[in-house]
Amino acid sequence: MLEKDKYLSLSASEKGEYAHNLLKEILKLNHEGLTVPQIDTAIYLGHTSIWHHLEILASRADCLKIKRGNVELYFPNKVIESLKEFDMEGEYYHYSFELVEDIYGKFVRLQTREKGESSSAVESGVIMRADIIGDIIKSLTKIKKQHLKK
Amino acid sequence: MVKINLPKELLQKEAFKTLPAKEKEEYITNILIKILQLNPDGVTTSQIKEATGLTYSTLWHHLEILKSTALSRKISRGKIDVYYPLGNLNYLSDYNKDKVVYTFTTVGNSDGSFVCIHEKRENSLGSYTVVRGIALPVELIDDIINTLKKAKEQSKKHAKE
Repeated sequence: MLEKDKYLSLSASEKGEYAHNLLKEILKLNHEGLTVPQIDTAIYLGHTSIWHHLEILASRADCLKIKRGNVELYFPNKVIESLKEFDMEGEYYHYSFELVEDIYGKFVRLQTREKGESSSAVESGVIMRADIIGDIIKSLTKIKKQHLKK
Repeated sequence: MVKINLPKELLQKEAFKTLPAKEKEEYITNILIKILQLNPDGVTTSQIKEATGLTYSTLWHHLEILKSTALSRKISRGKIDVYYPLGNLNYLSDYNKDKVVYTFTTVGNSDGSFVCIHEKRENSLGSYTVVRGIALPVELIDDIINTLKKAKEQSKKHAKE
């Protein structure tokens, strides 16, 4: 973990990338789930910043958020197989596929990544339970036939 | 600062303050989507702050979530981030399983034509909201279908383990 002074000297985008990686590592080490206050007592990023970055991670399928009453718990999405060989990359796009596991089971994760000069940060993503992938494929095939005319 | 177009539904500050926290979240998300739609040439966080009175950090958080869930686009121009509407979503179908809804739409914008998958879950107010999403270029759909088929086979191997 970076010293606070070094963290503060990073640019805004570097801070964001660092916070995302740090929080993903923290979640990985605590697979029983963590709340924002729990993380806040352990690191210096600050409550609001931790919450913001966890929400971003959850919205990109980088972690799982569960509400239990008024408490929001964040869990890691553990990568069980990186399907790197399936990556689809072009001049303006980069889509990656992975098999991930959370407390609910196994999923296929599909994410799109930024095509930056130095980074490949995740832009957005979805997870699909392994047992529904067949139905998602059917839906996409149907859409292709019925709606995407050449 | 250039003025932006605002939706009629924009609440006065006092009315906004009276909303419960959960409703505030939903309101901000919906109002930002409408603001982006009314300003297809793009808006910055500062412009929306100036026009709505909402705080910079609140707007930045929600705009980033909209981008991460494939409900908007962001283009960084130097140090300035400009947010754009995703485009007009054409609803195609829903796939519903165990209280998770995957909505399929098509959309066109200056980046091209896309098939979008949005994952929706029930929120504490009882309505289904987008929690995740991705935009897939139309020209890649065949490849994505084929890759998902391979990923499905890989996941079967893990299921047996």
